[in-house]
Amino acid sequence: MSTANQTPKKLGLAIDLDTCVGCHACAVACKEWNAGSKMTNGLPDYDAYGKAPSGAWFNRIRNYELSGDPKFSSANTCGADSHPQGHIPLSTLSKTVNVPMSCMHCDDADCVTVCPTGASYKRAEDGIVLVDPAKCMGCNYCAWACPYGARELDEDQGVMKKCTLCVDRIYDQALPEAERQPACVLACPTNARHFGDFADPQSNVSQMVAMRGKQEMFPALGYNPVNAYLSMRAPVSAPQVLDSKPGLLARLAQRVNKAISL
Amino acid sequence: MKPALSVIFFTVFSGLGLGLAIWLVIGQWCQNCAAAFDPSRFFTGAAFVFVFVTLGLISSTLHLANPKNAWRAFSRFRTSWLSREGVLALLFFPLAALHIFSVWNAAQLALRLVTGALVIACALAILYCTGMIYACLKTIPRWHTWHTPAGYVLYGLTSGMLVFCAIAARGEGEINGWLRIALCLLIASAILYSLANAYEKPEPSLNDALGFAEGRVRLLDVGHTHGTFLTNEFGFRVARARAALLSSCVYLCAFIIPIIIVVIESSMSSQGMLGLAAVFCTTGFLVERWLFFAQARHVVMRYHGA
Repeated sequence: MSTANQTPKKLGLAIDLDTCVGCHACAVACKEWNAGSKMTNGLPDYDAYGKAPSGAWFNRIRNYELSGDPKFSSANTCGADSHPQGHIPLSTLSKTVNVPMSCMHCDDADCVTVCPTGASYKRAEDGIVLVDPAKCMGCNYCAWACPYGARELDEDQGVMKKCTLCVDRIYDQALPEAERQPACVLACPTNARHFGDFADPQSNVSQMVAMRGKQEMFPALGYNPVNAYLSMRAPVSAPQVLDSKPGLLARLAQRVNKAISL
Repeated sequence: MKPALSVIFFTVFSGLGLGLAIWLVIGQWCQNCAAAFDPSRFFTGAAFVFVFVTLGLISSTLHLANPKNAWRAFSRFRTSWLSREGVLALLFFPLAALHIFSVWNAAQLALRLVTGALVIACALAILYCTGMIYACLKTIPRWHTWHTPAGYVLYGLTSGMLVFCAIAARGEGEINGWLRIALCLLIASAILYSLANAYEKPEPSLNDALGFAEGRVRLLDVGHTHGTFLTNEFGFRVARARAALLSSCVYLCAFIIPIIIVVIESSMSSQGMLGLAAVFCTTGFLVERWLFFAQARHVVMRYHGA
């Protein structure tokens, strides 16, 4: 069942979970671009101003809490040593992780394999996974085959839609070169999203992955996503400067404090 | 997974029709065997097959959001089980017509054997493909087992056999041989159902979903205030107690009541209630198919904290 795609170029996104602040700017920029894009042909909202607003989005950001991971709960985690209560149990230290998710443009994209009409395809030249709306019959089977929730049905048109990696931006010669990037990458205020070619070991994104390592989502399912989530780094504690011998004034203040607290 | 009624009707009724087609071909071959089948009932049975398979296929297009492109579904048979099923379903009609034609003209046994074998092979292949549509999905661990295609094939053969017996009972001849096969199929189906029902495949965790090897992860916020396509399509959950109740309904309707009827009918040789057995069995399989979807959990729901 493997498409075993090894395309000459592997365009995709490197997303830095350390710097993402979960602001949803990428999702909004994506929605804005694709709503007007001829490639996507609209991205609908349902009951946008009503009681149950919903709609199709190619990029969704979810927030999680990570706790008990020794990498982030170690003694050098900021504040652990100097906490007035003394040592904090590892289990109580936690960290918020913001995870934006869009199409991973997988090497082994089951969404393409299962598609009965040939509407879903992976481009041979750059590995971008696309849907041809002229061929899609709206059976939802590709969405069933995707573990990352990357595909959403356009209920108005009855066809499946998904992230195009802004294929109508990245090759547009009319745009200044710096803007030939996906809308989500340009919109990110913390520079957590990077666009590049993962097949080229010298590219910006390959270098980042080589340096940081990547965090794989559902690795056991074997979809081999092209997009990479840069591994979260253990925080580095600031060196604590302690005077070996406090000055006269400081010692006086300590004594006064101690007297008061007694 | 959201249980779509059109897909439930499609899989149960086309499964029944294909199972019936297989037994009609075998019955027609065995006109002079120990288990007799009145040849005059063959065409009645063939009409039932046509109605069930056609209704099933029409019903299957009802869940499409853009049915005008449905004809394109025949194009990707090299990779897609859904496409393979479509191509074979289309092939089934001319093959069945060829076999009916050879029976109608009372052709030589050799010709009836060849055309019949083609019908049987095609019907079995369709049932298998329908099962594989679901079984090939790595994203739904509960379906990703051999139980799925085995169930689609066996349940089709079983419900088809009961309809076949009900049709055969209205003709001449002794049908106790068929009733014995029906009994074996019902028992085999019940065993497979209990195996599939008890099988708990390990499901990936939220840690696997996000790639955290250590630590605990919990959802803080899904990022949307109302339902999305994903939660509508994959978020359906059936309560454990309700699933257990419906599961006992499957045992009762699909297996226990038909088994009792078949045993009574074969001992009393009245054979008037076999139609009822077929109705109960098919109803049971409709509930089974509803549970098949309702109990399946898609891994994408891990991101939503489920």
